Amino acid sequence: MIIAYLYHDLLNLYGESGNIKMIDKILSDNKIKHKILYLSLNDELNFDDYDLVYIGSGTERNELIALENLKKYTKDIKKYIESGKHFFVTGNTLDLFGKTITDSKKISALSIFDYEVKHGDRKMHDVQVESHVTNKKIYGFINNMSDTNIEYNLFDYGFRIKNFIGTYIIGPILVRNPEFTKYYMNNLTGKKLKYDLKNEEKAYDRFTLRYKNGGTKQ
Amino acid sequence: MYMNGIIILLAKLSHKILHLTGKGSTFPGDFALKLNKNIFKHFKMTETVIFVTGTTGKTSVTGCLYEIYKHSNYKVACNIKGANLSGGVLTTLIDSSKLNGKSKVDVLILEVDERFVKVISKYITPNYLIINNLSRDQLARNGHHELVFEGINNSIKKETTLVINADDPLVNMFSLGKKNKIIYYGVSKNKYSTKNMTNSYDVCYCPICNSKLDFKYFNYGNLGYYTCPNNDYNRPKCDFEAVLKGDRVLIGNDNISIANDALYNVYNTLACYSLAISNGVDKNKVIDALNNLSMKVKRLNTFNYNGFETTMLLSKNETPISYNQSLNYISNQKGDKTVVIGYTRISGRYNMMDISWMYDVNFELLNRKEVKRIILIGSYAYDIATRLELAGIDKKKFKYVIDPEESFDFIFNNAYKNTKLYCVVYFDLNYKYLDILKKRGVKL
Repeated sequence: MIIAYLYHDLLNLYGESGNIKMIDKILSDNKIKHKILYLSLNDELNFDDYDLVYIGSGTERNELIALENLKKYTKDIKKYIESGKHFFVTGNTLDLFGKTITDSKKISALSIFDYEVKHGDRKMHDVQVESHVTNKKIYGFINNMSDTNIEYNLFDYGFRIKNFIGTYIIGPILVRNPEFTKYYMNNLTGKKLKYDLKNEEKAYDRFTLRYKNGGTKQ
Repeated sequence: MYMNGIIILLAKLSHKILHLTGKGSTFPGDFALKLNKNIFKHFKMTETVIFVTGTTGKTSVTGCLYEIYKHSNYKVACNIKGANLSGGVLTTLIDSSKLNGKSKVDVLILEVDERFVKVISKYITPNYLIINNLSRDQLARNGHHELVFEGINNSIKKETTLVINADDPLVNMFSLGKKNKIIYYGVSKNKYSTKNMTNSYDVCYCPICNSKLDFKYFNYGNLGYYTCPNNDYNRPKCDFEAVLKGDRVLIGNDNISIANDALYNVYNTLACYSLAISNGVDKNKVIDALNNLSMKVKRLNTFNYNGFETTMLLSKNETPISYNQSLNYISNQKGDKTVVIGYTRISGRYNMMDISWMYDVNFELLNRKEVKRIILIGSYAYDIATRLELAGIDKKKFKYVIDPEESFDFIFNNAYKNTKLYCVVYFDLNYKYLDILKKRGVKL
């Protein structure tokens, strides 16, 4: 399995390398051969070579730099997603895959999907949302200025179309949500994998307690 | 007009009373602001006003400059306890001014929180603005570092001389498109420099042409020597360049000692030297003050307990650059180690539970055989354990204690035999442990 971690040095704002670390660990634990390519602006991208493409979030400035770069590959990306290959995007980088982004002016995005994005006031808060694909809620954090009309079908802030999975939740979502991670990894590999996520599960349970008690100390 | 005088009088009185009761360093300012939100305008600035800002080192630089000016016989005031928001800055103004708003000092040094530079700059235009570094910090509150950058950048007026760290590619961006006088300082390649970046980049593309910057070396974090392949954005030639020699630095021909042999202290010292010399302070006095000061700077808290030589490394959650300094320090020490990591809450200031910052901290530094045991404290112990596992560290090394109340004794009962102990803890646990030590009569 070839994993392309795109813009690892440009869109790297909220510790999202944690997602790559987690995918790496689970594939290794299951002895699935894989290679992670760290790619960015200076690299030629060959979407035919990748089995998974991951992009994390970045500053608004860096987001637009990445958009310019990705526009060279719009056709390739469309074909890649159409063919059912895996794409995973976290945070405000989801902005890029809609039709337009309106900030001080309206600019056209990649138009992979139909949604539109407007930049408004910045939102920064914890989230705990029901999930349609796992028994447990998704925990995470929001930190962006994006208002969109995306129709979320996985959980609030998260959607899946074919094997493109995108969420506005920032950071290491696959570290924080072991149940979702199992769903994600089984889907990625097409296998029922073995998991040793004891610490992840204990950490998750602690968050459940904190949310229940409305405090940060529990 | 008289009203403002009365407000200041009341504020001054309140400070005297609070001082007697040992309370509050921002109350007088907060109080005066409440009575007149434009009270800042009442003050007439002295000849030299210096703002000190950045992600780390603000309080050290402010305190150090204060000592330099005092030693050089200037009348000087500063907000010395790190009270760096509007109320704290205003309190300093109240203390250092007469009732009519005239300053009683020659030099006013204000530590200003990086998010408040834009607020304070509405009322005060400093002669000098020191920006020591800028990196990702408390993102759950700040959004991200470029927003903080923009806030500062839009508030800089052309009269202000910028004193900036040339090694920081984000800080150097303050020089773009400005006609201000700029003084650059930087640190040459040294024993701490590394070839590769070990943390998440805040800036690694040219802000002008978007080409990837070439880094010849990194000093720490994103700081280092960078050039743009199109020469659009290079680390500038410095007005003041420090060269490390053992635990001392050479700046030009001047030889200055550095506290704790730590690179961040080199940058702090260099910032102060660059400013003071540029402002015309007597050179011998500056060197003299810096050398005396480094003797006085508080060493890290170390003590012996239960047979373990222990070092406390107060580490700020959510500020990877400062957290990494602690981990770097540990990995530079010789011998077998037990490392203690923990906190009871992520932030002392707000009630948010984002853990993404842990993945911008280079915990991989602890993945070495001399680290024999890692004790994890508090309800986030399993989040830390997960992070450490993902850094490749064997979880057999971990011991957990969830209840912070039990953690002190747990540490000393569970530390690995014949190791030195390093406690990487947040304010909450740091104070708790220092308190326990005091009660048990242990000398620091």
